[in-house]
Amino acid sequence: MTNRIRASATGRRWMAVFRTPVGATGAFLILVFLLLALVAPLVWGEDAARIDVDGGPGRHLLGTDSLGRDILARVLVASRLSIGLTLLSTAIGLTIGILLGAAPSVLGRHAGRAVTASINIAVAFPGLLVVLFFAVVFGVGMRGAVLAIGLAMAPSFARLTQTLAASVEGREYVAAARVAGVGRFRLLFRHILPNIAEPLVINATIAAGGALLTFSGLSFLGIGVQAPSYDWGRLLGEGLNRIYIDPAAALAPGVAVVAAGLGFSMFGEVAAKVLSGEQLRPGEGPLTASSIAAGVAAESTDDDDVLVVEGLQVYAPSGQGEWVMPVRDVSFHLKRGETVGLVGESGCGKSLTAMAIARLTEAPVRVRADRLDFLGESLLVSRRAHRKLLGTSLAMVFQDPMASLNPSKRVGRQLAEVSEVHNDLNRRDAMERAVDRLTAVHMPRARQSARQYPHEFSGGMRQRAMIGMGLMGSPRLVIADEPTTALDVTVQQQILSLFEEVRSTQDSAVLLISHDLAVVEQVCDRILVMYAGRIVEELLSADVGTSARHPYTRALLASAPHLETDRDLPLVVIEGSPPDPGLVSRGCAFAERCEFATDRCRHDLPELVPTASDHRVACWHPQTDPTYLSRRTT
Amino acid sequence: MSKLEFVDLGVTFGHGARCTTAVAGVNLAIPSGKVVGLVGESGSGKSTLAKSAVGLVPLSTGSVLLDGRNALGVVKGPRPIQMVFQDPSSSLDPRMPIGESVAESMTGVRGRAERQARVSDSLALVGINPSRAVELPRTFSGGQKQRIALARALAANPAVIIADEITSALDVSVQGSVLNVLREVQRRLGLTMLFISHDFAVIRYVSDVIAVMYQGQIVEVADTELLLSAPQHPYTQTLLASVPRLGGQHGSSALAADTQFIDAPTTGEAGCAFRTRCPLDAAPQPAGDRRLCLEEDPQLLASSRRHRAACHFVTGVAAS
Repeated sequence: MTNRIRASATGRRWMAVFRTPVGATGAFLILVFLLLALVAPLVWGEDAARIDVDGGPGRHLLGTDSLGRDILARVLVASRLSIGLTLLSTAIGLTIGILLGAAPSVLGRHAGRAVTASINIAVAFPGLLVVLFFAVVFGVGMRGAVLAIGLAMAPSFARLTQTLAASVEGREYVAAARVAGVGRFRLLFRHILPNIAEPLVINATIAAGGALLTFSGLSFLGIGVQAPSYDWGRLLGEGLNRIYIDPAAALAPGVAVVAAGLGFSMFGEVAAKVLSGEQLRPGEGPLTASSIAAGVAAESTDDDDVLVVEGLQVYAPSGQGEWVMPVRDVSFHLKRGETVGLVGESGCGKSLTAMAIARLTEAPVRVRADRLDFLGESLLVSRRAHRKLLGTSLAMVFQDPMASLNPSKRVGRQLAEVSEVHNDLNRRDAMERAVDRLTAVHMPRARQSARQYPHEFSGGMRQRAMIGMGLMGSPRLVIADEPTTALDVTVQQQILSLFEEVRSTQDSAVLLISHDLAVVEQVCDRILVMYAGRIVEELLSADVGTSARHPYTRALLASAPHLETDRDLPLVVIEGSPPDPGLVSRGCAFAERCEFATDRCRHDLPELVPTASDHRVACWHPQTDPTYLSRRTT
Repeated sequence: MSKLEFVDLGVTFGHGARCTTAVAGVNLAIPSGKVVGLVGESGSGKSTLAKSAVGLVPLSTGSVLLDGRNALGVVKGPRPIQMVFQDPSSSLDPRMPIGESVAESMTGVRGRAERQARVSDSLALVGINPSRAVELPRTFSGGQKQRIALARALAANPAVIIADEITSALDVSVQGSVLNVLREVQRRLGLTMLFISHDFAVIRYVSDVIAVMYQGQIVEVADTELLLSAPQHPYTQTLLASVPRLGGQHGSSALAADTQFIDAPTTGEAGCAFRTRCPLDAAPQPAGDRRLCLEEDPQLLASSRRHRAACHFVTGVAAS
């Protein structure tokens, strides 16, 4: 059973390699040549050896060599030696490489360093030089050539193994195994090698293509396979003498070398791409208004509305190549000077919703909406038309400010660029504004800070710089996606205060995405609760503690421990996990985790309907018992 | 009986001018069968301290003692101190069935049957169906993976468990499933535990004693309720005041204008490490001369103050 599970998962990924045209061609070529290597000498062995002195035209497809032997048969038969010796030398290179490369993981520190150093030196020698050197040392002939090529490949494999092993060794599961008392050799064979096997195999495939060429080259030069044995290289050498009389004699083995070499390389390259998770997918379509207009009469637009979202849907390809909908039909609006929180478990579509609004989704993700208005303008037309509007009026703050700031540029320059591009300020004025904005976000010693690089900042200062960048324009909407999750509580308070300050001084709307209900409740006026790509409840934060109606909202609130949690009772848990976007059921997505669920919940989708002013719930059985926060059940 | 002690423990990384001190002169004892919670901001040295106890980082000074003996001397076999890591999706080998991962830390197992029985026991203990032992980590949810990681640590029959931010990678909705199991197992087996978290609510729920860490040093230690009701060190007070509370105030009024806070750390200088961030600066002078903060290391007399607080201005004497 274990093996079956392992095989199925790995198998699916390898199947993806065969589904690409290049990968399939490569695999087909390899297969053909492997088959030839096995059967050709049995089938055409006699033809290849028979001397046909009066070889008439038509009896030999590609003619005969100088002794009158059939060239096609000889090329086919030669595939066994060519392919066989290539695989043998690759195997030798791979084995020695893995042994050397894995040695530092097992040996002590000093011995390990010595091995590493010698690998580094060996890698520095040009491969062909090493081959020729070893070919001479081991003596002219088949055995010498195999060993020479194998040894010449070893250093690069060793280097690869060592690099891969070092990266795996840094992972926590290796640390965990160490703590568990797993020995060095066991660690190598059970944890490190299995996790680096895939890239090694792929590189070996690519290297085999190279080895084939090198081997043919050696034979061509006369220091590889010796008569009476022959491989493609030697056939090429023999044929070349007569290339003007009989081009097929040289071309046929040449074509064989190229085709086999290409087969190995193509397959290896595609496998490397697909297995490393690089997607080979078609590009993105434009943002479109939903074709199903669903008869949603656009609510009369309020002048105070900064953002109006109706029927927002986001489509993304799943790992298995199907399209799934991680955001399904989200509608809400934001008014001037309002702070709204968006909460839910990870994977429920919070961030994607934000990215879709800010028009930051990348191909292949696709966005549809019935309505997506920002400051009264529809964003449902081409992206270019709104670049300036979004650039100056929308500020985006992400969880990890280190990842969203350019590490190679001074912070002040990065801020100034915004104004240079969008407000046509010159360099000096833009820089002045950057310093001014950094002061506005209470950056200590703003002028000096502007000259520093992001890595010289603490996490809190980086987040301030990001907010400062958003303030370079005059943001009407600030979207903050988990802005304080990576920060410490003391710094979190400062950043949240800063958002509050931006809201009150600029009269902007703030959309705060967070998994932390306590944070959202503290800062926001209104809260949107999201589950499995839908908004399931919308309520005022003042009501959160007493009149949340949706069982999901209530469970989420009850599960968060706080400083008054009863320590003698177990914590509340929402059993199970949010459904995969591809497997969302027809009815209420929360039904399978909900203690109040009935058959109706499993079959009919509850719409988000108002239960009071400022309160909307999507539930067939909204709860009213006000004591859910203190309720403790398991 | 298994008491874990950090004695004058120091860890530095790098050499010469680039040398940074992650942990400096930490003295902390975890009594047998008790849970000590370690709280502090990121970069304060919590994880380094945890790793030093299981030999994942080398000590530069001091020692780790288990029942008075060097805990790092044992090399062969499973270590008596086991650790549960932060992110369960990276702490379980993605290519190894979870049962095998759990079995790796067991010792003295004779035969397949016993091995399987013990794996089943360990998994059942953390609420994972033993029949799923043959599955790979990817088929489990985050909370389940973290419980499997806990089962692996428990399978080694450890005397001490170190839990390093074990719920910070999880959703709050499932965090409870890990903490409930952890607490139940700790009580049933009488485990000694060091529980690390940046979340005060979580620390409070699990720990008997709380230690607060700042820039590599322990600045306050006390029983959980005592520390929460009467925090002594200004850093502890700041931390507690910053914890967002559900059902408290909401909207804009809840946020004090505390934005001028300078988060520049001080290291390698004499005096108190917290002085640049200390709110006492703004408050009316509590007692004595604030120049003390610049010149004298408050750690020196910490053990004589209440809660072993590393602050010159903590009044009162250490309770016995």
